[in-house]
Formats: sequence, C-alpha cells, structure tokens
Amino acid sequence: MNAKKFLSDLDIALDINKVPEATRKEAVDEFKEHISLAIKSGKDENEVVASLGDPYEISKDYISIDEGLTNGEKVNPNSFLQFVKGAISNVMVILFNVIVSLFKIYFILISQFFILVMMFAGVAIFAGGIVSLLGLVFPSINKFILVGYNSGIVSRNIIMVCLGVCCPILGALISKYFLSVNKRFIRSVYRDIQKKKFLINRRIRAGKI
Amino acid sequence: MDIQLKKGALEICVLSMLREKDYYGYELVNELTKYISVSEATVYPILKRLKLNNYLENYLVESKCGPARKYYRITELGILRLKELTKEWKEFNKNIDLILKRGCKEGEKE
Repeated sequence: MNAKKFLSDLDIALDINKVPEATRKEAVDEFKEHISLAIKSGKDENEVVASLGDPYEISKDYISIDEGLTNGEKVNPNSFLQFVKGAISNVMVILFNVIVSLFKIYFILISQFFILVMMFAGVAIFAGGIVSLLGLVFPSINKFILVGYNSGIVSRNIIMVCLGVCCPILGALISKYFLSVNKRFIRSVYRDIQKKKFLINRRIRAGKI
Repeated sequence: MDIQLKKGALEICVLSMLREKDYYGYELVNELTKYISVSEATVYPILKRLKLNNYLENYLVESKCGPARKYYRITELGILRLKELTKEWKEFNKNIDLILKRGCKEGEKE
C-alpha cells in the first residue's frame, strides 16, 4: 500500500467510526507528516506504511477521544428490543435519504430546464428586438414578420434587445447555483460509496465474504 | 507484552518525555518506540487525547526544509497529571512486585 492509499483509507475509516472532522483532518495530517519525514530519513515508502499497520485499527483508537462522541458500531445482539429499535431507525434513515435524493434529482432537472428555457427565451426576445429595430430602418421588413406588430416604439425594441442579452446570463447564474448544490450532493454520494467499498473490501480480506 | 498494558503505559511515558523537553510528533514517536515496542501509529491518538485533555499544547516552528513543524509542549495541568500518574504507577509497580515475589516463593517450594 502506498502513502496516498493509506491516508485516504485512514480518512475514510475515521469517517466510518464517526470521528469529528477536525480530529480526522488533524490525524490525517499528522500521519502524512510522519510518512514524509520517515521517507526523508531514507526509509522505503511501502515499509513505512506497512509498519504503521491497518488504517481501520488505527482509526479505532480515535473513537470516543472527544467528549460526547458516539461509538461507530454499537450493536447489542442480546436485546431483541434494541434490535427492533435499531431496525426501525435504519429504515427511517434510508427513507429520509431516499426522499432527500429525490429532491436533489429534482434540483438537477430544474437547473437543466432553467438553462434551456432562459436560452430560448433570450434568443427569441433578442431576435424580436433586432428585427423590430431593423423594421424601423427598413419598413419593408414589417410585411414579413408578425402581422399588425407595431415596431414603431424604439425604446421598447431596445429594452427587448437588452432583455434578450440578460435572459441567458440570468439563466446561467440560476442554473450555476443549482449545479453547485448538485455538486455537493454528488460529492457526498461519492463519499458514501467510498465508505461502503472500504467496508466491503475489509470483509473480503477478512474472509467473511 | 500485552498491547493494552503498553497503551496504558504510553500516556505516562509521553508526559514524562515532554517534561524533559519539547518534541515534534515524528521525533517523539521515534524516541518512544525505541524503548517500548509498539506500532508508531498508536502514539498519535494518545497525543491527540492528551491534547484534548489540555495536558499538552501545540506550537508551530518554521522548518528549513518542508512545512512548519508542530511541536508538543506540556502544560501546567499536564505536569500535575504526570505527578499523579507517576505516584499511581509506582504504587502499582510495588504491589505487582509483591505479588510476583509471592508467586516466586511458591514456585521455589515445588
């Protein structure tokens, strides 16, 4: 295992054991420094990492290091009531996550929709304004476009051109906001996947699967 | 030697070393593991816990090569804790020795 893998595994293992973020970051930094100093003193990277041991075992030493910290895995198989309570709370957590995920997917759709609508609206209004302005210069154009459309008001046409420019910009800004929310969501999903992968790999190595 | 027994002893060792002088993490871990054969990884959580208990504190020192080093320093509270632990440790050691001596005598008789 190289240093990068070790540090990311440690980070995930600490996260799984619900070690608070500040402590987690500090621990990872400390081990990073340890490894880099050991390498500087002439040791082999893989040997240094191997001598530190299993990241998951290390992470256990950080459990309940802070006050009021909950243990990562609290399962009491002796008590049936506790088992039922645990099961119910798990179902609630899953339901909550599903609802939140649906909301966020909705967010993504809205952001895509916004950008499309604003773009089309922008182009249409912009084109309308330009054509009407042209209509002022060359009155003959008016015959080809909207029947009965009065292109005589200059200020309205200028406003239309400006609106046409503003619409896509506004649309882009709004969808940018939605996308940033979306990015955070994807990152948290990615983190969850990493955690699950880590746990599954551990179980495979331990011969449980 | 049992790992849990060693971990218990590490706290007092760390405090005692820092009473002598300030160390940065890597230096302290290296020095300590010369005397007690534990994985280097077990020392860092102990440092963190001692810090959270306000027995130790950090300060940064600019390094010629690489990033600034995080030094550890013992606090007043830490010194008090060290005294308390040393007393407990001596008492514990004395009693273990007594028990071990009794075991030896029994062994000689057989």
